Amino acid sequence: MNSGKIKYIFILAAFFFISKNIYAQNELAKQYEYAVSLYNSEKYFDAITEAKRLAFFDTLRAFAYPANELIAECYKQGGKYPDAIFYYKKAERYAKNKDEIYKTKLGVIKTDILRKATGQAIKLIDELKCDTTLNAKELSYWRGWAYIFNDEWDAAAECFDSIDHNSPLKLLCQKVEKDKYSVLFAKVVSVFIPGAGQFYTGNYLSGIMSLGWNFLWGYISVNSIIENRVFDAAMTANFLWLRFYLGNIQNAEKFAEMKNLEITNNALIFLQNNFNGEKP
Amino acid sequence: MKKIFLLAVIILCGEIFAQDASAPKSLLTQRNVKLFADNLFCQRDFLRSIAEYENYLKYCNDDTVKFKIALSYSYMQKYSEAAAKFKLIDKTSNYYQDAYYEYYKNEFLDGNYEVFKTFFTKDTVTQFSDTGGIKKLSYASLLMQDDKINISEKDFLSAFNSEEQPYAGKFYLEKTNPGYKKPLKAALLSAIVPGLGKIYAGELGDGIFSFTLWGLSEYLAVSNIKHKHWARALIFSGTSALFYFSSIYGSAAQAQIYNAKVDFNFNVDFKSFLSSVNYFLPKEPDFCK
Amino acid sequence: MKIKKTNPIKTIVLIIAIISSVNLSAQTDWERWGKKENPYIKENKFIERDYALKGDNITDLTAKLLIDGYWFFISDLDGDNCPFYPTCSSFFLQSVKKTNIVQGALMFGDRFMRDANVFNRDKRYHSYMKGKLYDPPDNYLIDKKKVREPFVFKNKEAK
Repeated sequence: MNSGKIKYIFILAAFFFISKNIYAQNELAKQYEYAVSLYNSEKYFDAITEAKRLAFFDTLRAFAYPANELIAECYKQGGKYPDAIFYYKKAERYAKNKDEIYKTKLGVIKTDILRKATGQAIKLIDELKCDTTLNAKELSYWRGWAYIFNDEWDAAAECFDSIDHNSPLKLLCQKVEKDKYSVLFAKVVSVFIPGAGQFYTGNYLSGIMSLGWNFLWGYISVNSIIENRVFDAAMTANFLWLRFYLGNIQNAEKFAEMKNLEITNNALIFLQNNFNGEKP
Repeated sequence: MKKIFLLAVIILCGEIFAQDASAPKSLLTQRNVKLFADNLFCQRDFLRSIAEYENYLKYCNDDTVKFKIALSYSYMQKYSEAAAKFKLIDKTSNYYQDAYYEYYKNEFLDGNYEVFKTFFTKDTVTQFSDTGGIKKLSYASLLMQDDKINISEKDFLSAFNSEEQPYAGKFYLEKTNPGYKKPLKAALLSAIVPGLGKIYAGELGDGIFSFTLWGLSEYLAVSNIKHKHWARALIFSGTSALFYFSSIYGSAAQAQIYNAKVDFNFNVDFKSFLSSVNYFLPKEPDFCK
Repeated sequence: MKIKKTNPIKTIVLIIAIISSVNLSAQTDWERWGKKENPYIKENKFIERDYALKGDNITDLTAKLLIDGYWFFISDLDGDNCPFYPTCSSFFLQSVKKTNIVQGALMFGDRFMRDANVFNRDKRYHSYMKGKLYDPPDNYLIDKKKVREPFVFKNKEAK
């Protein structure tokens, strides 16, 4: 009886100590859940506070990875991209397995895409591709997004094509590439016929007026030469004709660029607001 | 005994599996809140550390924490809030002397120079007896204001020690003789020779171009009048008149731009000098060694 | 007194500011912030004309009408010739609005002459806006206090 009592007390004490340890771990898990719940209710600033609290009291660093990853996600949602990348890299240091490392790197890639540092994103994707072949499709997908943000729509279409031949993103990229105007063509035709580039981009009024001005100043300049008024001819040709001629080429280039910007921005607006697939 | 054992197990398990979406209380004890806040403070995450410290102050009165809240505001360059918080620190506190200095420093940084005016009353000497740094700061505040300085150079320099005097003297001289360009003089010079006022106001290139443009259109106007090209004569007379009066106006404007630059450069230099000597005050205590 | 071009103290302060800005990431959180979705779209770098006829009085309206005509028939067609922001015509319009037609015309004439000076532009006009040298009418009101100091207003969007 006596030895049985001691046994009970011993077991109870052992259980108490073990559970005390579990209890501390459990408190931290609770804290993590609290931080996540704040994140889910879009209170990102407070979520970071709680995640930092978790990381501070987590002396064994059991939650170091999820806490820092959560902080990074919060900063990403708040559009604070450099901070997000800082915390993704911090989370990577505490990652326990390959999957976790991959997840943080993907976080950096998506953040780089969002902050339009597409060169860095593609570099990271290339590095990851050497490491593993498992996620090739996912990496191609984000490479496609990086190309979109870098205004390389045909390269993006190729990436999406390698995943799925009928991917809606591939079709979108191909359409944008097809719709875009050639800036070089607009410039070149305007060199030969003032206003032609403007016609190509659909800016008819501007094209007609450019043609008119160039015709007028050209006529006056030539006429002055015929009438032997060299000074007037030089003045008109230099200060008026040349000015409007160069302006005409500039305009052809500008209009083509503006139209292209409109086309690509429309696609980007669609991607941001109406696209249902995964976004960075 | 078995019953007690089972009961204990149930209670412990109950504690383990109790879950809800709020911060666990064990992390929010008085001690833990302060520990976490200190950590945030040293990470320069001041807005969060202030929130935690304020939370802590709900439970107990702590002058160190109050001082650190004020310091957090100061580090975040929210000087008026910082000054208000430093002012609240009690005379009996260990941090009173530090808070007293920090209060004046933050008022100075906030541009609230009014607070220093009280030091220039009759009993200045007694007031300044134990606050040499603040005496220097209040004399420095005179140079930061737009009003003219009523104190002689000798009086001004007497506030500073021999190491600081050369700098203080240089800034005093710059403030009292700022070397402004007079807008009226610039305008008059340009009225005599278009563009001359711009050269006086420090823009040689603009002066030359003003003169050239005016001269060219004046020449074209005169030559067209001679040749009786009346339409052209009218156009060039108009532009030459516009250039003439514009260069008068522009010279006056340029003089004021020059003066604004003088003021701006003085302020930048003087502020960086003051910050390099920590506003003559002892450095604030370092809590994050 | 001469205005110093470079000041050692200023340089040191600048260097310190640059170095410290690297590890001051906590500054992000010195103000509370919330969810923010940055737009995917690329920013428009082209200067957009506001042709709308707006003005409180007849001089403003007349000036605006003249400038609209100038923009439509000439400025939009003769290329990008103005190194400044606001452009010369916008500068004129803003000057007239801020002052009166006479002073506005003088300010414009002055701007036109400065426009001709191709030397040392980068040194005189420190800051850029829309890829152009920033030269606002406020600087030319002959009022020291209204001068927008380039160092202070760098990177700030101003109308």
